[in-house]
Amino acid sequence: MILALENVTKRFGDTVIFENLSLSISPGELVTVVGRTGVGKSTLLGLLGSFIKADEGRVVFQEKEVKRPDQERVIIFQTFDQLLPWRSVRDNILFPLQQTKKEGFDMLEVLKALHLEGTEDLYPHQLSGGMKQRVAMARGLISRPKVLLMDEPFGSLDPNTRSTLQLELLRLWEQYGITVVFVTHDVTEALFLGDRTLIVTASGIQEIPNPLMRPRDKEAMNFRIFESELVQYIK
Amino acid sequence: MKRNNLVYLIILALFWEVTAMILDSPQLMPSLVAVFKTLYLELVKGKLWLYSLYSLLSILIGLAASLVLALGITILSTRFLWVMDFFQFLNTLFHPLPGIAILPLLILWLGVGYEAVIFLIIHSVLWPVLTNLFTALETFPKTLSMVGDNYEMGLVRKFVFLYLPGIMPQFIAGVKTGWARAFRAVISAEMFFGAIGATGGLGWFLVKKRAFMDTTGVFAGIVMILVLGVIFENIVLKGLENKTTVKWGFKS
Repeated sequence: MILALENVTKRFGDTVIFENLSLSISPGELVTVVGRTGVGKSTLLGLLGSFIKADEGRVVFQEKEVKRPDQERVIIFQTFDQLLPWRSVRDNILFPLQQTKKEGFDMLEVLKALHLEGTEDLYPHQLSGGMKQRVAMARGLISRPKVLLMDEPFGSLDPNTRSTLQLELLRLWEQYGITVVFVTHDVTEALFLGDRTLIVTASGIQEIPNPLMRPRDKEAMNFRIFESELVQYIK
Repeated sequence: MKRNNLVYLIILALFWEVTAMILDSPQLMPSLVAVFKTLYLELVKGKLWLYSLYSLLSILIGLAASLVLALGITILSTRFLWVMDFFQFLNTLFHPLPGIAILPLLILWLGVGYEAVIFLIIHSVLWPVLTNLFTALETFPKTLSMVGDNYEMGLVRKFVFLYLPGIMPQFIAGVKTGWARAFRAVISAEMFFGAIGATGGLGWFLVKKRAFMDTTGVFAGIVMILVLGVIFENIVLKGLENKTTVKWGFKS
């Protein structure tokens, strides 16, 4: 276990989002989280990253209770404004290393891994949506965090770019052995990526292990069947 | 300067000259040629540049003090919501209050001197600049603030590396307004107080020229103020904009 919620309760006003929730994530695991809009997926991610405080219960990271965000649990968002508009691609990616003085990956290696070579001197407003998310992932990876918390990172992208980035994420995950919690509203994406899937509903969280072998094929029969089962859960 | 502005300037100058010719009274409206001749003479033979320098110095000191104060309040506002709340309340109270209205009090408390002028400038500049900076904070992306938390950045670090560049467009707009307000405040104070220190500023220059019914001299002083304003906006502020917001794609 690398990251866990222990008996966590979270309310917003009178609305209870999670009650007595416990879950744990193993090192190197890729966990996907699905659920309808507004059901608490991002709240769950916020709790795991300590960006949102639990009303009751504990967040445990590497056997220690944590109360503040830290550089080992890096969050990546859906919105493009997560990049610093006043910094070039290079300086955006280097930002974590400059701020934390941490020994990270080599800049060139990360640029190569995310196919960003040649864009180093561009500014975010000169990039397409897909490129911006690549830069965000590069920035997330460069400081070698233990956990990546991804909040619908491909949610605003067109289907082609999205598929490409899903494959890249899997490749990076395998290459670097990083632990990933990936929130999405897209069941297909959750199934394609996850070792297991957490389904968030108003009545709580349900864990579904993913029996499909990698590499997965979204068009395959067993994928389709499993996908339709999962859709039932969400309803 | 945009090319259109040059055309407008020529039209305005023609209008002036025609009016001056029709009125035919240098006491009411001297010709442009006479104004620029006086301006030249005052700069070269007179001490207009010294008056200008004096006013500019007051403005720069007052403007700098106001900006430091405004940024300090903004830093605290990024962490403590009540600071922003409190100063927004003060802003509603004091922003509409004309500087000239508090001058009698300033004279009573600080005397007729430099301190009163600087205080007046701060009062004139701080509130509009704060309004700008608070608007910028309210629209600052929450994700960027979270990125700062993610890399364990402290209050000042977050401000310097994230907030300050993020609010740069509104900050520059604030400096622009602040500069104009500071200039107004200084000229009013100088006209009100008379000469402070060795020479006095542009305001005092205008008062002296008016006292001698030297209309051409008054116009020369006004043109000097306009020229200084144009230089600041087109060289200092444009330069800052080109190096920051334009380059970052905030403004094309």
